[in-house]
Amino acid sequence: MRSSEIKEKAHSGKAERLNAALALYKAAKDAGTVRRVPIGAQPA
Amino acid sequence: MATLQLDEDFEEIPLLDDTCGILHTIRVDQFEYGIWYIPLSAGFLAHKEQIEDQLGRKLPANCYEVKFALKRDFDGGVPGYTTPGTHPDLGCLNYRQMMALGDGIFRSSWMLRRHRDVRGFVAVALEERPKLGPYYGRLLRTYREQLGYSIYPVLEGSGYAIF
Repeated sequence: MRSSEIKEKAHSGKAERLNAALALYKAAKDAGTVRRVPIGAQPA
Repeated sequence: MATLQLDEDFEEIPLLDDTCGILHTIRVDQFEYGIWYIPLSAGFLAHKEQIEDQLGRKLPANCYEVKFALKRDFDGGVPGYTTPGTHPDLGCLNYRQMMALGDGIFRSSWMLRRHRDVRGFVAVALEERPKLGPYYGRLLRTYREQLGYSIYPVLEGSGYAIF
């Protein structure tokens, strides 16, 4: 799913909104772009 | 008594327009949840204008929408979210576990506030989960004194703006 499609779904008031969040996370995880940040460290 | 554990790190997820969503993993007994924070500036909150109309003012900058779902749903991505009761290895949360989950969401939001310049939160129940509105309301009443924010019910009680 493309990010623009995810954003469109996120604009729904229904479950698609949460599902879009799940899809965003999964897409980022698959792409290897999720960054772990220790709490207490300064964000990038 | 339910056991609550919070991860000691966040996961930052790049979004559109150079912003980042944040996922924080917490556990209540056998239930692992992801608390998802998304900056309103990312433009994902469909109700933003409606909420601002009801408030009669703009939401502050650096305000985050809060959602939560089972972490396994985040890991699985589409087709979509599930509830614990649909998983034979989990079952439904009992009252103590529900309250511990709320405690976890509250503590997580404090950790985010220490980590980021957070000026407020918005929580809106999904149309399919109308009981979430009263659940958020109960949590906010419980933690009202510790929040340090004002609480504004919006969208006929299905959501709250907190800043």
